[in-house]
Amino acid sequence: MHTKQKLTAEEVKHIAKLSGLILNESEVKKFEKQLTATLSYVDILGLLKTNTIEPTDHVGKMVNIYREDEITSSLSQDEVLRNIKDSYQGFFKVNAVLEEK
Amino acid sequence: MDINSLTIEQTRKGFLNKDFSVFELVNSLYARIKKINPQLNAYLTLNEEESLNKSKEADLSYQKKQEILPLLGIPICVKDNFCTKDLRTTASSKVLDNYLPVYDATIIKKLKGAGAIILGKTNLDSFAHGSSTETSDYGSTKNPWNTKHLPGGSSGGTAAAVSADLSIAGIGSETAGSIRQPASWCGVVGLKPTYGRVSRYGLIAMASSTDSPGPMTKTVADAAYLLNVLAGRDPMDATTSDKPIPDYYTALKQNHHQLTLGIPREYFSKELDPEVKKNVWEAIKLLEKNGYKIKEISLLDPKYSIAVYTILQRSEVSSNLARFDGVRYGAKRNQFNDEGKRRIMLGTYTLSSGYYDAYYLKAQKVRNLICADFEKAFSGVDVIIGPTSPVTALPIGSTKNSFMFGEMQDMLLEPSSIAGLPGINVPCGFSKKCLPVGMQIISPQFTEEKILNLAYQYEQETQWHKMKPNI
Repeated sequence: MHTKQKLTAEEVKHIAKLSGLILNESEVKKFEKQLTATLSYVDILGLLKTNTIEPTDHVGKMVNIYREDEITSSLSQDEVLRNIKDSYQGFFKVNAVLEEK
Repeated sequence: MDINSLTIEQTRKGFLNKDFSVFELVNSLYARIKKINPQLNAYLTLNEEESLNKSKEADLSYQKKQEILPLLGIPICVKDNFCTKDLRTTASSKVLDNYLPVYDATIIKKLKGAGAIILGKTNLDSFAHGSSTETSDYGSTKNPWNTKHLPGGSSGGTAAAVSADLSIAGIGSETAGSIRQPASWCGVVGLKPTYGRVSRYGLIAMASSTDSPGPMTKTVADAAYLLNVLAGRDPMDATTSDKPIPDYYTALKQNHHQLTLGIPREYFSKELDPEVKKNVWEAIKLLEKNGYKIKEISLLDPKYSIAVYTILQRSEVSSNLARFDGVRYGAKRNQFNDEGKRRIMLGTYTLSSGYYDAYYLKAQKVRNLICADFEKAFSGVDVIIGPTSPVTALPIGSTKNSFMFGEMQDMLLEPSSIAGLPGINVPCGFSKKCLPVGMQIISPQFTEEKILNLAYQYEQETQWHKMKPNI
């Protein structure tokens, strides 16, 4: 099991970036402490031997549930756009990923 | 007759006998909600206009004696993490403050299809991240037995509404205690079905490998009756089971006196409140007097389940809450409260490259050990009994500065949730401060009829289900 030293501010900022969250400096400090404490608690799992144990895929041991590849009814474009204030000609607006030169 | 205090069974009889109409009952409930909800904050959104219209339609059906569906005219409240078409659904988070779902969750479809009337949406811990309802972005719900105390969570709004007769019955969801624990703290019946017994389609996802919708009711019979409507395979949820569905309601009265009840010594540790211990032991003694065999067993220390749950839940949450991008619906991600941010970040970390094996994979392996531990226990006993919660309802404010509050509170429930087992809370007494105490019964997967039957036998020997908070 992975016994970690305290999470650093850099690590917390990296995790926040991966999580799509923007944190201010005091939040980074606060979460450093709290996340480290939680990780310390879960280290207890290291006491259990699991080398020969498979991970649980599904508690009911179900596998491979398929349906026929048929087109069925779906939401209309209007319904899909209903919960945003600002669409563009029936499209969602997202942040730019390419810059204009 | 106080019609607000009736059960599903009694309400249905009342409609059929023409003792009162659906319209009268729905009006009466809304009058009580308007009077009491400001004190309790159980409901976030009411569905008054549609409910009154539906109640008139239901009355017509009763008059014509046509199409008397199983839940015709029965008023139900629903936890606000189930999508209800055109009815505001927030998951108690500012991220979804104005969200109007464009579809009904499968269980909502089933309830409506059975003639039920959705009174409104009830409060929960924000995105169901908690065991108190205190982390709701819309203020905590209060416990009807003592409004200075918490109702438990995350289905605290439903538990409080059912307990305070602001609804005839309700729907909650459980990932690790969120039905059974608030049911225990509010003195109502809460049934967490086997994972896969009830569809999760339209339930705002938390931990997809564990989330289980279920009924919260005034009596065990009502829970069985509701489960009959809710259970079943759903093509929209590939994790639902096609195992046959027994008639849970009819099964209540069958004799099961040959059952052996397993009592785990780890569920009666020194952390257990002495009053909880006393009440639960008295309940077990009553069952023993009625012919059930008692056997002490040993289960894996619950502390491992806490760690497994912490990792799995946060990992799956980080993935599930990634859909809240502020692009297709909802507000920007900075609207998540601290608890939400904490869980998302921890889950992102435990799934990330370099840490996935040590955390998520390890937790899923220990999960198998927990499942095997229960299988071994069930080879010697038929059901497992213990306290639902180590304490009675805690005071408001108890969760502040306690970042693993939920996990610790739910330690007696996490093991069975992680293993996907069915479990029920049934009220079994009160503390000296008049706070409810609950007993839980757990059985192997897809044997809900066992726990319902046993809970029913116990309930019929006691008066706890007839006691009401003074509110």
